[in-house]
Amino acid sequence: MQVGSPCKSHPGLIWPSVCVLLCLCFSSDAMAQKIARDDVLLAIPPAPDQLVLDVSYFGEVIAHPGMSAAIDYTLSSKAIRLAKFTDRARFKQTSWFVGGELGGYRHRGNHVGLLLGARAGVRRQTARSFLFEAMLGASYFHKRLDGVVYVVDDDGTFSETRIKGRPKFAPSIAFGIGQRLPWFLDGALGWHVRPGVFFEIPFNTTALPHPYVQVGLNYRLR
Amino acid sequence: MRRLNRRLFHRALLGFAALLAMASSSCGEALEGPDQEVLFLRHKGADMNVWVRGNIDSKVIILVVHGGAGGNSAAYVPDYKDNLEHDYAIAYWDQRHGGSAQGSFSKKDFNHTNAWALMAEDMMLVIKMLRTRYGQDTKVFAWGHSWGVQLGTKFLVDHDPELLDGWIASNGTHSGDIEHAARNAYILTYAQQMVDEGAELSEAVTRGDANIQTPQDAIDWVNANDPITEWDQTDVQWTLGGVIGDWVYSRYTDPDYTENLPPGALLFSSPVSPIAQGINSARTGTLINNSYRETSIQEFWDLSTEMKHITIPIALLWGKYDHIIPEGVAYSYRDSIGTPPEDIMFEFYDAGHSPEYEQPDAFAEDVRAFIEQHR
Repeated sequence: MQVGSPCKSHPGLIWPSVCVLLCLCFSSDAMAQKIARDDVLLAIPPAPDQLVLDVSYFGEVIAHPGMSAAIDYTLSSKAIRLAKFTDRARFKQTSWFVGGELGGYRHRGNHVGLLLGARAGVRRQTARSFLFEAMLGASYFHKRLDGVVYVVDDDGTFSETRIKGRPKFAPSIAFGIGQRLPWFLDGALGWHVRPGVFFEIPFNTTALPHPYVQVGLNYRLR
Repeated sequence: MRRLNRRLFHRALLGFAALLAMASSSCGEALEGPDQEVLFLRHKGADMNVWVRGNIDSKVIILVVHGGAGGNSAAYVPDYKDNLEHDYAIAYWDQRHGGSAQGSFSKKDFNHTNAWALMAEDMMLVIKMLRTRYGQDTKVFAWGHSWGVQLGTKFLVDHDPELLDGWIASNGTHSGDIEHAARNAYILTYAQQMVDEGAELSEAVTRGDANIQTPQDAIDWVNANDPITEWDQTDVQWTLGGVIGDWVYSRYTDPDYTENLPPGALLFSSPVSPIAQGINSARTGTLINNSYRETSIQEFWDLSTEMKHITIPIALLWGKYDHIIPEGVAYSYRDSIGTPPEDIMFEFYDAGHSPEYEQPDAFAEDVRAFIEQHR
């Protein structure tokens, strides 16, 4: 064949070509129908996490080790479909939640802290399953001295006391980042890192901030 | 994307495990060894920590009475960790509303009119508590630094000095009035040297009506402000002393600083709470230590006439070039007590305010000699 000359089809290839084209047309039509069906399904916002359990390493000043556990209940949730994912519908979801939290840690030679309280906040999950959250809390804080505690008796002698704790109030604020793991347990499991600070009130004649970080896993119970 | 997520998740798990491992191991580092424990004295709303470290078997305890007010005792751990702790137990006591001390009490019970006596009472109880813990035959010496000398002297005046086997005082005072006089003398002495040598002030002192540009101005100011009787004068004198002190230190002291603990050691691996230290220091500063104001606990007072009944062994170990509590105070302290001369150790070091830090070996050697003489 010379360059620039018209291409001549072989007459024996016409019918098979028509068959292939017809098949392609039918199959692409079926595929298009399937995509449309999936799109309809994906266009339905995912159900919000109603009940989430989180378990964390609780590090007061990072390195004074402890653990915490919390359960959050979603009060309201709003999902927004993102326009940029036109082929597959995706959503970012904002949830307002309240929860209860129990935590404890030990600052060796200083004190053992036990926190029991409530928290409330907002959590946003992006289309790529990343989590951003902010929360406020209020806890009963039991601060127990970590050492031998002496008190002076009425007669001027000393005795060790077993009552080493003092009751405190501890408001707190925390911010977190994390991610749901879509490939694991059907996306029910996630991780989070949550720096925060709680305030020990009273502390001597004032208040004492306790910065902390929580690193852990969260699990959708419902 | 999922593969990337998975990889990130695995890395996060590894990091989490490393964090747990670090946390579980790091908190033991500075607490290693059998010869240390943390005691607390609970008294009138305060939970004061006493970190006892070192050679407890020696049956000799040095109680650290830290500076401030509102300072902390842990700051002295690096000074003693590698020397005196080998020979004796050191009890690092954080005073009420100082250091890592905890508790809950009203600011009405902690102000410039009542805190000093209350803290002296605390000190008396800490000494008794140490003997309760380690045996009545334990020898207890106390070392006060800066404000710790003012507090320790109050204890010696208000309570039974014989509770102590010896008192070691460094660069602190027994009288605000004598401190002012000694600081004026310090400024006169060294400002005159600066004039003779043609030296200049590193910075001018302009506070209130004072405008001190040269060493001669400093001399003139002192001559016009002796004695110190007003709060405004204390402000100028303090600042001027610091400026003169800068020149004196650069000329006369050659600090041989002690090796400090690794950075973060006290933050992550000890009973110390640096955040509590900061809050306590700031709050105590406001309540009782607000220099140059009427709420300060550290000006215009005098115990020098009430010290003759103090006859226990006393060591006055002083940084000679200190502008904060100048050497003149040490002479007055020696002359105010009733201790016989043979039981007084009187040493000066080429140091400023903290001889235990600036000349640790010489200082520790003298402390050792004093204790061995009187244990």
